[in-house]
Amino acid sequence: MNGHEREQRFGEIYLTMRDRLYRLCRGYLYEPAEAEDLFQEVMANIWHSLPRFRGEAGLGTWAYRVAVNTALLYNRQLIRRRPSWEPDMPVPVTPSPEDAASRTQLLDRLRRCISRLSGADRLLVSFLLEEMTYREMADILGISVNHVGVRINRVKRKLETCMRGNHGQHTD
Amino acid sequence: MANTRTEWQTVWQQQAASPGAAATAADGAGLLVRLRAFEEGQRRINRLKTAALLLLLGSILSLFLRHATITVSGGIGLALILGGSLVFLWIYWRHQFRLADLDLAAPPPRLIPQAIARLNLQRRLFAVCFPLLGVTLMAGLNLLYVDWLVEYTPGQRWLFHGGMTLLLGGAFWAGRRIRGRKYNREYAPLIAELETVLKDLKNEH
Repeated sequence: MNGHEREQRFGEIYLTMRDRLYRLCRGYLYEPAEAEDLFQEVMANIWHSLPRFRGEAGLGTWAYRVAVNTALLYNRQLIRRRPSWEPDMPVPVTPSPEDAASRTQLLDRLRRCISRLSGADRLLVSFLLEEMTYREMADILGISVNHVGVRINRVKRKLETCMRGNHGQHTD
Repeated sequence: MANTRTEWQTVWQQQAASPGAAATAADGAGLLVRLRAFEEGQRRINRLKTAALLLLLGSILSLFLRHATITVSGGIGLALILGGSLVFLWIYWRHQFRLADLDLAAPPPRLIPQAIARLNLQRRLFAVCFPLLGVTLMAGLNLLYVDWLVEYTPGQRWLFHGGMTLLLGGAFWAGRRIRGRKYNREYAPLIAELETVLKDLKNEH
């Protein structure tokens, strides 16, 4: 791949996938500043890895894989930092998602509930919220479709429980 | 709950990347950055070590060529020292941890064991290759000195060979210990963290 092709592909990824990759980072890390750092790391790794892109997977799946691997390698040290919101704190219940303010609240609540999940589950929820198929998720994560299905069902239950506000009760 | 989920998806998908967030590739905190820093630090140290070793080998070679007649044992000794050192250097460079060597677009269950294996190679390097280099150098130097000490009494010669072997053995033992501590301090926690990531991915809690 020459320099021009590399820039072209990077531009393509940036234009078509920027927001989805950013949301993946926001789903993986609750703190916006941390998520932004991760996003920049993802874009940097996509750029550095592009010469290896051979087209075996679609450009989207390929970029997602780089993003997922970056996220999985990224987060460990952050556990030691004190976030502005602790995963054990109760998640405030949204009164009504009617207006813009309540939508923001809903989004924040959603992020907080996601942040309670394990690293791989956080990635799965991001995919679920992006309305990806199980096959797409399996391709990106390198696990079987059945495994994705089982995990998604469990993660959905956890998320729904948390979003309803039953923080102390776990469904599984 | 399906409607609610649709609403979550709608709200979620309305998030856009903050302006300019991807304009730069600034380094953030985390394992990846640690791995990068690690890699850079290692590269610097390795350049210094290689330069020092090559200088030492060059000095030995020039000293030998200027002051000694090449005999069979001396030649074998020199070949052992130079050959052993060069083979070790080659293995050492080849096994270094380089993030760029990892295929970040590989499926995570393949990438993470790959990263773990590369980190584990560091242990094998000092646990296996380093002692082998020590033995090769000790044998080579002793052979090299057989001819040089021919005018001394057998007692003096034994003392010299014994002393040199002990000194070199001690240096290699100390070096191995230092590398072992470095491994436990820096590499082992990284490996443990990567194993946790892998377990989480495979759902082995």
